[in-house]
Amino acid sequence: MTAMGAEGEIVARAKNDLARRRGISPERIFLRHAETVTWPDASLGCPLPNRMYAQVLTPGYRLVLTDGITDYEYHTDNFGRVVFCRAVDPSNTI
Amino acid sequence: MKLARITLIFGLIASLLFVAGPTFGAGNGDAQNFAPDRVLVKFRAGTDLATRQTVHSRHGGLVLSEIPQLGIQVVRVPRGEVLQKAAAYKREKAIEFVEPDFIANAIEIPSDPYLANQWDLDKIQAQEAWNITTGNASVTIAILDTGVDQDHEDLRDKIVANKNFTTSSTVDDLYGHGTHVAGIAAASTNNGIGIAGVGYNCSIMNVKVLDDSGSGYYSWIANGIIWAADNGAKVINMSLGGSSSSSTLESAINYAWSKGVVIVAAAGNNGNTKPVYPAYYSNCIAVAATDESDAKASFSTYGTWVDVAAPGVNILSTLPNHKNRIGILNYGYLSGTSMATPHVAGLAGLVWATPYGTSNANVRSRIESTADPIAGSGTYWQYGRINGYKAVAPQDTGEPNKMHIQSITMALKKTGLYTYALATITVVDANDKPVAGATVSGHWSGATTDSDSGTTNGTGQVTVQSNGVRRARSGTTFTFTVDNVSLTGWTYDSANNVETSDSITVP
Repeated sequence: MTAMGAEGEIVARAKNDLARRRGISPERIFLRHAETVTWPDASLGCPLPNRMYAQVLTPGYRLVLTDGITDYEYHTDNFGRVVFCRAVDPSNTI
Repeated sequence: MKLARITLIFGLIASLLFVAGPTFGAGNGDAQNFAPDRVLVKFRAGTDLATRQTVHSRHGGLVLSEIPQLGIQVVRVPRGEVLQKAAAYKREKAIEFVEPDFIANAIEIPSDPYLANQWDLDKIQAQEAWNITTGNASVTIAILDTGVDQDHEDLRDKIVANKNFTTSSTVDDLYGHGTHVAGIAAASTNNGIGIAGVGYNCSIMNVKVLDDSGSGYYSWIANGIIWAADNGAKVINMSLGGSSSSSTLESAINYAWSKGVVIVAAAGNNGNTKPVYPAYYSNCIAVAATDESDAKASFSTYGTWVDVAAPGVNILSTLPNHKNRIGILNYGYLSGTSMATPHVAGLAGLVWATPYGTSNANVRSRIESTADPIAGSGTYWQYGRINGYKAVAPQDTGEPNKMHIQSITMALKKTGLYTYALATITVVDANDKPVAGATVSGHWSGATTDSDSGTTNGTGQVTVQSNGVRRARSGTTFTFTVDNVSLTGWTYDSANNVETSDSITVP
């Protein structure tokens, strides 16, 4: 999937997830940043402490979304898996 | 179509047959690699025809032909008694050596068409290993992972069990990871399709402990370990890891180890030294990843807690023949310690099929102790990058460094009024090969009393001469007794002497 694809389906999926979490319309969420990343394993860089993960390098994207107040980091693979990673201080985002 | 490159492996097969301890088949793992009814015999120089015929007669041998340039006879012996007859011939003083008529084996290149793209198998000398053993289907490798594609052309015939400990609705592999791992460990090999798997003939047990997104709870994995151990797995492969230690997980590992299972786990892809579980537990073989240049993969976790390394960069293997999260169908390349780990698991399967496969501790030790000490060994990982051939090949027993006396031949020499005795001592190694340069010392008794010593020549022989006895009468006896044989780097194995003392009497 190309960066355009990331702007499309994957970003839309991330926006919809954040909108649901925040209880706001997806139209109020904007993409601040997108970059391609090779994640070290199937956790896509956001491992949970009680889980184990397949130890395979996984290409995908790091997305930073914003609702205008807070930034939110999403990690994805190239085939539609989108993981909410964390809320981040906007002053620290790229 | 099978391709083959002919490689003479006389030396290898000979060592397989004559080392002490385990005996090995070769090629298909069972067949003996020598003619069933022939041995090659060489008599010592100067052995007369009558003696040769007597020896052959004693052992039922019939000379079929000769290789005159080498002084070697091709001798027919009763079918199926080659090793027994060879041993019997070897005990004859007149024999310099005897050996089976070995088959010059062809190292078969498996017919899998993608083998040429599997650099990893060359790196670990898998094909050389397969010439010694191709494992067998009774050795089951449990793949604790995201499932295994159930009808993949290169895997379906290898899967002997399926079990699902996740919330997924299927034992199939919707992610793709488990199918890739399974192929590296034990894809159907020499079947004219796809890739070759390290474990060649070993079977696959599909234990799904990671869900369709590639993650799993520790409890799923602990359950999978216990189930695999209870259901006949000889090897457990876990190309997975987490950052938290867990008593439950470690208990499951220890349980499987106590049931005799070899457990292999990925060291992780964090590029640092932080422990990754379950690989960090002492009863797991922790596996780091290396590249085609035998360098540590940049992503690989490393450290002295990691046991071995194996290829883990751009590894070609099987992928599901249906939609999956890897996004590639049937075959593809992946990187990670996930890919390194099943190389070790497959090799463990092969080692189980050799005489070294007497316990999980032995199998593990064999893999670790035979690893190639590539750069980073002792730092990035303890032992080195695994070497399949060395792991399944017989080890050097050290026997050639022991020597003993094969014979003492006595003779009389008369010069004028004096009679002398000559003692010719032959020193050989554990394989009855002559030992040159050994110092033989001993003493004379009977007719004379003095000490003598000398150094063996290229045929392992040295002759010492007694003091002369003037006007020796009939019945005078000379006796020579060897007191010691010494040579730097060798051990005098006097317990194995055919004789230590010999006498001759004046007629």
